Amino acid sequence: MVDTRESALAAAELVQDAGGEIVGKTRIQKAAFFLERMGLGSGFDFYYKHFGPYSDDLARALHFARELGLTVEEDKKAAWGGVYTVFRSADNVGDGLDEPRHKVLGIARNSNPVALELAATALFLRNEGTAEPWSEVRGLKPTKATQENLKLAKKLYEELREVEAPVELPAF
Amino acid sequence: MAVVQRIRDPIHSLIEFDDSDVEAALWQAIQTRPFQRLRRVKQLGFSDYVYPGASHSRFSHSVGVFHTARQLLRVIQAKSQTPYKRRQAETALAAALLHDIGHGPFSHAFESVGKTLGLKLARHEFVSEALIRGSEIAGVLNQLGSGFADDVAEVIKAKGPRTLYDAVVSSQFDADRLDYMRRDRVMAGSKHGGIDYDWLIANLDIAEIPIGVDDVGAGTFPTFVVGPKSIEAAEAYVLGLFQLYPTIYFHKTTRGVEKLFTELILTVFRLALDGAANETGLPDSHPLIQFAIDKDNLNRAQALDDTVAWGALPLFADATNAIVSEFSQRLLERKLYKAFDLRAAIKKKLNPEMSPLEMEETTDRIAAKSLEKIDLWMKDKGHKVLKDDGIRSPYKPIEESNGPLNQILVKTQTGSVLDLAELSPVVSAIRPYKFSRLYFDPGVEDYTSDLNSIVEGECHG
Repeated sequence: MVDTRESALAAAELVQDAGGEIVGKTRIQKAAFFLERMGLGSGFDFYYKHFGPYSDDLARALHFARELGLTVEEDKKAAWGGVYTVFRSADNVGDGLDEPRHKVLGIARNSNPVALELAATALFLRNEGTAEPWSEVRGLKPTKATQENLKLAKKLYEELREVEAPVELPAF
Repeated sequence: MAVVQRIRDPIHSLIEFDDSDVEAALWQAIQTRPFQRLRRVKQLGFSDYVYPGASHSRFSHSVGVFHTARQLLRVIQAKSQTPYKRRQAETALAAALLHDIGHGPFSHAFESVGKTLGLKLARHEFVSEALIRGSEIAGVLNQLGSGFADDVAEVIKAKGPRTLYDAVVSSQFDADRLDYMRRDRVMAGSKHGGIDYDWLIANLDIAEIPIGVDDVGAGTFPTFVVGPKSIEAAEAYVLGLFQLYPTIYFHKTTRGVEKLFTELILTVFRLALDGAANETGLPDSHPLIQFAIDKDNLNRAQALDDTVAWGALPLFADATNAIVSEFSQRLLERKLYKAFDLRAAIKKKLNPEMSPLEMEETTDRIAAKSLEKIDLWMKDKGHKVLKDDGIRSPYKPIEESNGPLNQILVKTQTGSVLDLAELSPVVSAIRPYKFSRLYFDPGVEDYTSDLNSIVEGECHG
């Protein structure tokens, strides 16, 4: 997606459909990834990075959404020492009637972002042909993939699978 | 250990391989077909259109990364508080040597074609993993133990540090960056971006740092940090990377050549996929056509390299397709499109008394609005105008949240670990490098005044 306006609107709609606010670049990236894989997305292309599936196109679109005044970003200091970004809608950019998108984005918005990253990574690996994605997630992310976080990630994945969407998420 | 093999290198002078099992195996890995192919993939793609000396290969870079990785492993051996893990170290060393094995011809341009057409084998990480796990390289690596090749592939696939040893392959101080930033400037003949490498390595240390995702912490992690005596060397390292982006990696002319090549190959692949390969000037048996129509075949991908693409240019020149014919001639004769620098055009129209930060922020806003208009304006221009934009921080983006893994960290005299930006006003002032450019041939049609009008309208809108 190279058109500046079109991609910025798609990014702004993500924020709006998440209820007007979503906390963190990982939450928004992984939420958009699930939307794409469930047939509910806007055409963002994802590839694998250290923190799981990632879209340069979406990062670029978010930048333009902010510069065009469609969203507002606020950086905040996290207790763990990093900086995270809060994305807010600045304008009404869509009809907000797409129920499955709302559900997916609502689940992502309220999720633990570590679990969301693990769940998105597992789905990415599964789509790439990995037979045992959860086991590979443990290998790729040993620090984050604690037993507790994996349990949360699997529960989150099942929650997302229950959303009725044009493309059903695979069971694994 | 006895030295059994030697390579002379313009950056490291002498790179030696000893008779240890791991170095003997890695020397064998260098002799494999996939690794020898790297001699025919240039490290800097089309940079030699600007810097004629910058024609070095990914082969020499990869061997340099191996050498640098060995130095970083010595830092771990000397400074880690935990016992040295030989198997993990050897895995990291092999991953460092093999990290670029999957790059296609003119790496980044080819990846861009692959992204547009959804070609899995144009993604170098995917190909690297497949070659390490499944080609003759796997046989060589597995001499070092069962599953060794898979372990090496996992290090590359992780695309970031999972252990301290992985930091040798992917971190702010990884062997890849420490080699390419030194090699590329020397080969380009540039004096930008010099660093005090020996002092930096001598002062590297290890510290446990927190990691997290968005607003939630996710434990701690050991990685490389610099000691208090090398703050200036670390500053030069960040500044060096910052300077190399506009001057070499994102040079406007180099990127312009990449855009022409990308459009050329995209057109060729589309024609081949539509059964119209005869319009490209290439025979059906040409490796580029064979790859286009058999895109999931690893052997077809491995048959491609820079020399195959260069060799195709004179054949493309006879193509019946106008874009293929014109763009190949342009590449052969260096008759390039000229760049219109959107951000520079905007800055010229802004109040010069603005602070640098205000100037950047205002330029960001006007550039976004101008690009909206330019997208509409471009709709009937076809291949006569090409667009390129991007943003790059001097830091390696390992985390999505901007946490310590994305920073250059300094272990102070008191043992606390701080972001270099907190200690260095120069580093804290650095902003990501951004560019927005339009390319066209002013000799055919000069769009400068059209574009300036759009900018003018947005500056006063």
